[in-house]
Amino acid sequence: MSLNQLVTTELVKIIIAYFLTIIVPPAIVFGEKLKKRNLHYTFRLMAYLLMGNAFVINLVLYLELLHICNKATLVIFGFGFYISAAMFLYEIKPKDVLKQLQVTAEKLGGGFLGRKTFRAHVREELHRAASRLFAGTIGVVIHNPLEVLGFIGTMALTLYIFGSNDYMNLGYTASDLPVHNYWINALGDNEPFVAGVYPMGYHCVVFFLHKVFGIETYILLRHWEVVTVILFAASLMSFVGYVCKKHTFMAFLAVCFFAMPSFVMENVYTRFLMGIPQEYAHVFILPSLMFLLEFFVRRKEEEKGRLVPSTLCWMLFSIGLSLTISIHFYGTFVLLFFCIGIALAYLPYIFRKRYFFSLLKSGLLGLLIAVLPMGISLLMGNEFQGSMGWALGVISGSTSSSNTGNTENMVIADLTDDDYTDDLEYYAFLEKQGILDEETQASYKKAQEATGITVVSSENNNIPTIVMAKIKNGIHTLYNSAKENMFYGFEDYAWVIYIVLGILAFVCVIGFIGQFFHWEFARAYLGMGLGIGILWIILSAKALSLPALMDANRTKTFIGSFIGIILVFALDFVLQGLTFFIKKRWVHVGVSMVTAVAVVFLFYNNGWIREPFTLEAYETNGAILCLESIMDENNDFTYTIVSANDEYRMVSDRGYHYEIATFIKHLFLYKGGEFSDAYSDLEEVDDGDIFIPTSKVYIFIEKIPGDNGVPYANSGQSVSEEGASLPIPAATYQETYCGEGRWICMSKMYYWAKAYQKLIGDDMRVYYEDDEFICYEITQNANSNYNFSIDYGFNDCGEGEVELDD
Amino acid sequence: MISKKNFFTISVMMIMVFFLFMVTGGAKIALSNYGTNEYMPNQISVNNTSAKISGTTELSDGSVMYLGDNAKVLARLKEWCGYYKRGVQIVTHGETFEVPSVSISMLVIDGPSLADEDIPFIQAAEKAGITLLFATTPDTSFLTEHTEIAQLMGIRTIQSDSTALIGMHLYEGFLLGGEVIYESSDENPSYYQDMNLRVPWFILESASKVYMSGYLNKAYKDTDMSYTPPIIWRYNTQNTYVYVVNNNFMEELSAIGIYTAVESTRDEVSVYPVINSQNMVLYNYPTVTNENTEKIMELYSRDTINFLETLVWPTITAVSSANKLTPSYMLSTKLDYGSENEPSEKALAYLMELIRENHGEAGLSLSSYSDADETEKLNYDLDFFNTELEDYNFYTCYIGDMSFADAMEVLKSCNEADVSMLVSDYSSQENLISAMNNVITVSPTTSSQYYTFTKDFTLKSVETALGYSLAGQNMDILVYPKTKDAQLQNFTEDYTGCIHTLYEDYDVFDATTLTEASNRIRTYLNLDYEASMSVEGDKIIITSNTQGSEQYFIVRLSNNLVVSSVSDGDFSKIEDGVYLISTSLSETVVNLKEKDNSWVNYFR
Repeated sequence: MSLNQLVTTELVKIIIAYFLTIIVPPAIVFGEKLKKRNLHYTFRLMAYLLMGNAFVINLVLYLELLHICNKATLVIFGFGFYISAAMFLYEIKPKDVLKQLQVTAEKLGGGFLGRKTFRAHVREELHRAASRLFAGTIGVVIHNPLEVLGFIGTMALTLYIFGSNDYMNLGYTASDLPVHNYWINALGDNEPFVAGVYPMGYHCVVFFLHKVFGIETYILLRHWEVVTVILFAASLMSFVGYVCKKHTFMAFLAVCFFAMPSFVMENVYTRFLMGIPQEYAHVFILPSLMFLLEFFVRRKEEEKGRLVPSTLCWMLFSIGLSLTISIHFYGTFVLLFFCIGIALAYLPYIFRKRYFFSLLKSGLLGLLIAVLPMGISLLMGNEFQGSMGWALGVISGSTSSSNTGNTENMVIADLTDDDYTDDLEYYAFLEKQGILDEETQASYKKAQEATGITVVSSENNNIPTIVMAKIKNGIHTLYNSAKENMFYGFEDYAWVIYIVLGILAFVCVIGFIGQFFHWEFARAYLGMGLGIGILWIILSAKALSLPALMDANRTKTFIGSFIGIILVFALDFVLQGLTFFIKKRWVHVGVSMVTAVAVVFLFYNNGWIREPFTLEAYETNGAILCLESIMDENNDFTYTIVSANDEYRMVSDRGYHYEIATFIKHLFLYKGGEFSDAYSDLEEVDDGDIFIPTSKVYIFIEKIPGDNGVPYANSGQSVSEEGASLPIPAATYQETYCGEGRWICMSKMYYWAKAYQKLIGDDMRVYYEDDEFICYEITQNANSNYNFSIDYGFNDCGEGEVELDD
Repeated sequence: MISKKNFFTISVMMIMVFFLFMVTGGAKIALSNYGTNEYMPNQISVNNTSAKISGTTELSDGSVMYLGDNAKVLARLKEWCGYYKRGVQIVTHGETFEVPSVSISMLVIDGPSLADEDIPFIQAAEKAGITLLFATTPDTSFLTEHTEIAQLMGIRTIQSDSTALIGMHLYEGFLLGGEVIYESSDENPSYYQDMNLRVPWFILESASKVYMSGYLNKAYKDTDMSYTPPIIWRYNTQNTYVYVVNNNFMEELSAIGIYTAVESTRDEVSVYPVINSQNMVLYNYPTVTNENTEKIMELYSRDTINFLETLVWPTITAVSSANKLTPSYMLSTKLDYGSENEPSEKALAYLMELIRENHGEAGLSLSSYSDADETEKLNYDLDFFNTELEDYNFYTCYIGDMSFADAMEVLKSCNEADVSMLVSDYSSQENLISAMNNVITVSPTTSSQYYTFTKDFTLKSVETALGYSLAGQNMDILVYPKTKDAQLQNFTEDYTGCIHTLYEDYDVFDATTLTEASNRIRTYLNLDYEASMSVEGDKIIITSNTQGSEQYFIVRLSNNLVVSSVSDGDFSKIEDGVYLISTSLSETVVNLKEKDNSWVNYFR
């Protein structure tokens, strides 16, 4: 099996599991009903996505709160719910079902119905269902060949750009994934909020797939980025397809704008390569907005007396809202920003009774669905998880998003240069505090001018001049923040920002003007345009002296992923203008396809299509491969992995883990060393002997140690005697394995392994080795363990502290 | 109402069925041929092997040095060297170490007899890379005084001069048969327990590998398993491996397996020949005379012959078939030769039919319950057998505690020159297997109905060294029961348990009758072989002086190697890393491969 085959197999497994869990059950149960309510198939798909996720999340959470969450209950309650729902919706009486089952059983038992005949009936039914599905699929392909091609091409492009990293770097690409892994592992022990109350939606979905399909949690987390990107691309296509209706290729173009532009900074999108909760919440924003927009459309139609049920739409919106709350609050923030935009677009309607109360119910229902399990947990005595306290603080205004405390209450003397990202921000703060002296005022002015901001004085200018200057300054600020956050290092393309700003304004204007012509699409333009505008303002919040509701690093990811919508809206409007007189559908499709191809060609011709993203992982590929292989060939809890803490959470459900820092400290004590107080975990290390009571012990050593995201002068150097002879850092937990500390730890372990192998011979063998990683396997008596403490020449490690190189 | 036609058809069918049953029953008796012995000894003659088996003093590659004064240890060492055709050099106290011209397999040291002047010799041997085996541990006072020896043995501290254990734990990977815990239940702490449970308690140095450790009593329940008293361990001094046996195992028969295990665990690949023979021998059974009938009638409500046929025989077949053994029966016409009762020809014929059906083998017995004169007894038996078993050749004979010479004299006087294999009672003074005048004498490795831990350990050891065992059982205790344990129901329970527990891990070895065993022992004793590794390390080439007869070898491999195939031979896995190779050619190639069950290796 090659590495590519391995990753592909795992990915296919996960995608099938997700599809079978999330999409298929609601599709079977609710599909027919949704169809009858005139929901287009993209709507239905998004509805299944929302319903499936909401169901799984709540099922896991409530079973967890009851402490009865396991594979059996998940399957039983899962099936139970959908079967009950189907019986309710299709008015099937349980008595009839039981009677039918009884009759069949009697026929089978009494010999009136042969087993072969029964099996043949079942096979026939399945065959018929499969034929229908196949015919449906073929029908879609035959009737929409161009769209199918466009869909496949766009998905392939997205997967190529966002998914390639999955094949290159097998390890976790986000430093906080081990924490999420830990929380998911805790769900296995029926501890739903192990670190405090926190939105656990993402964790519940991963846990469900892990528990029901037996896919290891760490494998799911490693590949979750691909699931997220596929779902986001699908939601983007659905949303744009919904707004741009006739110009179907605009949907594909929107995805291309998300995936392609090489002149935008990589870190705008790199969060999509991490498979973390915020990006999963990202997926549900656009489907929620679709249902919100559709609600307004349908309610208006209802007012005209047409039978187009709108209740379903606000209910689905409430599910979407609940999902963003359950998964990540940032998703909720962004959804609300767009909702504000849409509310402004539908301002004449919003306060009407039939709209207002439905929306109020929707919001309250969404909030209730999401908050209820968390509330129950709080009532049971749990406290908020640390970051939740911070998030709630942001909402209440008592905390800033940069998590450095409330700057309003800071004493200027306590501030250091590090508290400001640039001079401009610093001067703005001084100005706000009213302590800007003449000298600093001059510097402030200079700094503002350097960024293109015009300094105007109200004393010397009239009002129009001041307003114009303010507008100009506002645009400059938006430009600067976009340039700094999204185009840093690509100054040659900074003109794109002006174009995008212009298009944004254009879309908003079209949206505004469209109100007067009752263009329904224009309301979507305006809503999305205003939403993006709000996000952009939040990105520039510090420069605009506004409270920063969201961290700029996260905000730019949202802008980066949604900005394509605005661009295609503008193009769509132009195409609508050019083809408004044509009725033929294929012409609209053709025109949109030509436009999309032309744009892609323009990008290609100018070299603007980015290379696939790469994001270095925190573990080497060798370590992950070894981990999978070890889990595969050993029974649970018969082995221990000795490594830096990377594999701790990955393995904790199946085996034991021993940290190399603890190992090294034991070795030091074995040689008679004494630690200073600087070492915080001394209580774990009370003598020099090391016994690991499992029959297999695997030692993970990086021959070329990474720096764990903390680069130092010689990052990337190999293990060496020089490294092994240094004392390990007196840092705590994760920090020990960062930067130079990791190199020291790995060097010590490398020379220990070499020395120990000589002593125990063939009981210690190289399990796996590549250029940057080596894994040793030690076989021992589980009842009479090897003592791993030896004098290997580099035992000394505690008589000093290593200054970690910044 | 049945028609005449149907009545006729049914009758014909019933007659046919009846006829068929009769024919098969009759054919079984007619073709049974129980009057002849289906086993034949081979023509391999064994020279006077006493010198070979007791060890030679000529040094050759693989020879062993011995330093000490313990006669029991030396005797067992010589026995092992005899089987393995190794020379033994006995080192005198104070001798200076000289680097030998041949490769020495190990230096065996008797700890208690160590003197100060022996230390330089041991240290020099260790520096020269010779494996050290402390067959017994020195006194703790000696170790305290000579820390360099303690250090050499991997002893970090002496926790106690003498500690009482409640049991021992033998780990897998040392002796064949895997892991065993020799500890009785809390209710009956002495049940099965007959091992020496008082040993010094040492705490070992790092990287020591413990093969057997002791269990402490509940007072020490908080002691980490890794600090419990070690019984057998290995320590790497950087120059060589040092093995230590902290008990009296090396003075007993168990020593021969420990010597083999030391070599096997030390070398990455080890090859040695084995006999490959598992035997179950029943002394004085069947007996075909009604004796002690009153007691037997009282206990079992039937006469003795009936008891032996209908109750004892099923027990024996059940035990043998459950453990895949083929019993050998040492016949006796009667147990009490003073009795007037005459043996039953019919009973003999019936039991011999059963023996033949089960592919067993019959032999003679010189021992009797009444301690009759052996010559008279044998003559009496032979006279009776010659009438019913005229063509049956007896090749084996149970001689009880008689000496080899006396037994041969008796057999000669009775014209039983065909006997080429004698089974004697176990004597700790004698070798397990010996050969003299082309006659093999063997002792049982298990000699009674009761299971004990020492028996288990000894059997494991003998299986490791020779791939051989013999479970002997005297059956006259059933006819003359003196205790309740000798009553059939209790006997069955003990005997079944004992045989099953001892043999369950060795079904890979062949079950043989005594004549088959004799043939294999002859091949084994005559075998001269050489095993070499190919340059690539993927083949073992075994060349031997034997062609035609089946030879058996055990191949023990390190953790990451497995046998993939054997050219011109067969192999079967005994346990992880241990294989039994059988071949009849003078050159056999054993192909090896790396154990790559982990799929991670595909990515290397």
